[in-house]
Amino acid sequence: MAFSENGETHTSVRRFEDLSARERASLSHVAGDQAIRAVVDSDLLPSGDYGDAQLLLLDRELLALEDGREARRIALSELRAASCRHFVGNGVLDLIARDGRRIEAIRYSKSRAEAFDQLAEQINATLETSAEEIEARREDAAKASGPAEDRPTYRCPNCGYPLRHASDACPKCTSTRQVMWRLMKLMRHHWKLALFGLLMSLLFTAFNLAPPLLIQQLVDNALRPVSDARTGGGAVSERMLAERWRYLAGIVAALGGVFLARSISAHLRIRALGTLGNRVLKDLRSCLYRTLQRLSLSYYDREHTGRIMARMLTDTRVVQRFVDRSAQQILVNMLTVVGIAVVLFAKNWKLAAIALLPTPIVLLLTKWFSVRFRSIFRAVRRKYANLSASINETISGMRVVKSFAQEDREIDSFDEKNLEEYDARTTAVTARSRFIPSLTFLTSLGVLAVWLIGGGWVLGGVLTVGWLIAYISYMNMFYNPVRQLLNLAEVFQESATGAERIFNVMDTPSDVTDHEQACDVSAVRGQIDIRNVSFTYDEGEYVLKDITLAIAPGEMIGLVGQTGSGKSTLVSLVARFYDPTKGCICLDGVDLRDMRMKALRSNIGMVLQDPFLFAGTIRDNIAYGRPGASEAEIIQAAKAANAHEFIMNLPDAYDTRVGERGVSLSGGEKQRVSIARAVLKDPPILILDEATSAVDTATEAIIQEAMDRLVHGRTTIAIAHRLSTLRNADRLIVLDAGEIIEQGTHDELIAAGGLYADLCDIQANFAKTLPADSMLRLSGRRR
Amino acid sequence: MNEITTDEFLIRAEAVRLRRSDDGGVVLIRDGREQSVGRITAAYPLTHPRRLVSLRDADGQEVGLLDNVKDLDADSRQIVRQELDRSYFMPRIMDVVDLREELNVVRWDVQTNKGPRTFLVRNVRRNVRRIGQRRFVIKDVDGNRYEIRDWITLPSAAQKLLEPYL
Repeated sequence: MAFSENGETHTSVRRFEDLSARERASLSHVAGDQAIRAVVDSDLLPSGDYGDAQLLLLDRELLALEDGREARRIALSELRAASCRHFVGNGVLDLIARDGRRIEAIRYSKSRAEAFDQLAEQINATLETSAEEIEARREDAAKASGPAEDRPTYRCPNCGYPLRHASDACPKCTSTRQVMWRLMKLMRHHWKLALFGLLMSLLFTAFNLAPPLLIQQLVDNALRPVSDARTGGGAVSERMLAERWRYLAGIVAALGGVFLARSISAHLRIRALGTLGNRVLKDLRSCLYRTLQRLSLSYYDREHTGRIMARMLTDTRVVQRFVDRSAQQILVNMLTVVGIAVVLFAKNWKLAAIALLPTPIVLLLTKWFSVRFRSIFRAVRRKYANLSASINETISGMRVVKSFAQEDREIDSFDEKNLEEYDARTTAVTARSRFIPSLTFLTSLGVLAVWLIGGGWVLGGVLTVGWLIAYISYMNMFYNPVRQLLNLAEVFQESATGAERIFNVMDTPSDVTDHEQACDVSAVRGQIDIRNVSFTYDEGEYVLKDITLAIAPGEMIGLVGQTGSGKSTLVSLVARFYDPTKGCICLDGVDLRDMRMKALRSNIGMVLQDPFLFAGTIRDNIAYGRPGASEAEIIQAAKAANAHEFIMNLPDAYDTRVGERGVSLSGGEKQRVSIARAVLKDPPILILDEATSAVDTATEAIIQEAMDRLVHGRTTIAIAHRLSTLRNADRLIVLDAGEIIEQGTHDELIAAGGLYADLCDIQANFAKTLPADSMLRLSGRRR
Repeated sequence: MNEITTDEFLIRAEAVRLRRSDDGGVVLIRDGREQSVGRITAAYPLTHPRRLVSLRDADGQEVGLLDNVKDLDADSRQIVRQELDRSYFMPRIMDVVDLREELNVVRWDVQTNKGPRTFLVRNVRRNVRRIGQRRFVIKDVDGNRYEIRDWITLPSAAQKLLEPYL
């Protein structure tokens, strides 16, 4: 059990202070005179049976309890280290004795793995275990451990509820009230509009409730006196008739006025709240977009584009719908229900009680059906998903289906799923076909009762016909709002989680920020000092280990190494997309972290493997880093990038649109546009990340020429798989598993006969055995 | 590696002349030397149609870019304009008589500065392109281009027809 509501099980490391009084008492008993430093609960006994076990870290000892009884007691003085082995579905915390013996301290299920990892760290800290020892243990444990879970589970840091993604809002912890309050605060700039919308909702409800009362007046005071008199056989005097006519006309006019006022207030309400909703939508989107631009790249490593899009588009729409529709619906419904009840009870509480008698039954029925509906519709959705997945799969695998002549089998399998989906839908239709009719019948029972009893009272002279009609009309107006209010909690919850997810993103701190004293830099010379830099994404393995490298102004450095050796990470650090975990990088002697980010980036030009062109003209794309550049300068840059010729051969030349709505350029052409972009920006520092790997040989020569022109006079760090690209480099740095293992010129490294020489050999051999073109494709494929 | 400077490729209009050769071609006269010109195209045909005009020789090699056509003498200017009008033909729409959409293809019935014209546009979002505030360039299914300089100056009936497409 990973998650519990009653707080009886604990999945984290607890200190003595976190324990309940009862636990303190019983644990102090076994701990004796020693203080309890940490307690972690396990749910698994060494035998593999589920049960209660605990590991206690005391002053001088580690104590394992099983079912409350002492199972093992190990003195800390005998121990060297602690480490965890992870298996499928469970794990073990090992203690390593001074003599190297391994003691299994406790076994636990996967739900507690994280807590025991933490405890192991704490034990190591207490033992003052050396970093090497910990690393050695970790490697041992890794060898002994089973396969790692491919997907980490995210849990709510508050309550431990499992979440789907790190950025998800916890549905249990989301305090609807808090989120709604924050949403209200967002609306504070538009409070006048909100107030106006509220007022119009009130008016609308009032006007909506008025007609039955007017009709009662009409029946009782205008129609009945005359019709009574006529059916009574008596004569109707001219005066009386004229008087009643006037009365009739007056009421009808009043009704007309109410109808008009109702429509006007509805119009104003819908417009005001609709505008309010749209403004909130606009504000939220713009806030979110600002946040997205502010966040560092590490956020984008963690989150998928699709999910960010959903935050931006779907969740904001949910909130908008709440503001402009649900909120006013709730308000109007509530006012209507209360208003009707007040009117009815004020006139005749007995009849009101009879009229509203079916209410609890309607409520219960609605609740019951909505629970049922939810499970039915879930089934429909699931079957539908099965069906569409099956279609998708066979269509994309049609070649295989045909080559094995399995068409008939696929048809059968499809028919089966199709039938399942049909069945689920039929169930849904049946349920729906029962719901509304039975509800209508129930409420009409109430109407029958009112007719019968109220009718009796009319006969008895206790009630007027007009009032009876008014009661009936109010009853018809009553049940819809009641039913809708029943879904209130859900509507609130849905909008609150939507809003919460948005707020979560807006609250995400950026890992890379400017501190307050950050300085601007101008006239950068381009001296880059990388000092003892280590780096890890997400606290996993170190991608870079203690790298030290000095690059002189104007020097061209070639970074060489296999995939995953840390080349791209290193240049990302230089551009400060991330900050080093340890050590620092200085530009002209100033730590990058002390520099304003904008100032730093304006001094760095990057040409990447997959050049990205924005939707816009070629001219816009070249001028992206320097929007004020003149047309002639843009042409100059394009010429330097060897792009001018192909651009002039496009129908609209520099005014040609590229991207989604425009022409599509080839990889080499895009790359040249991106080089022109860097040329125009004219930065003192240049980063080339596999800039030529995605193009064919002929194009490569053209790009290489452009690149040589670009590199001239700038501090350059170039990454290339194809070693020939780096022939102009002043110095080559060979990285392997995050460490610099060789450096020097091409000739020096060949003479040294290390990894670089091997790599050169391999590429040269490839070139001999394969046609040049296929070699390019092989080495160009990086991921 | 030598850097490329603007002086290398810019041709100052005041310093050159153009003339028609006997066969109707164009000849560039610079520093007293004559050079035949094969193709004349604008680098920014939509945003700056009369500036930075690329001149190529008969082999297609770029001779240079003329900085500004209006600085040429009248005869040369006339020649460049004629050539540019041919290399980038884009009549101006003066009035829209009718716009009718059938199955995602819009049939335009218009008056241009070159006469009446009917053409078809597929995928309006892609082929009606906005340039600046009130200017539009329309590409028809055959690749012909038409321009609306300033749609506010069109007759109001035309504006109404155009509204959903711009």
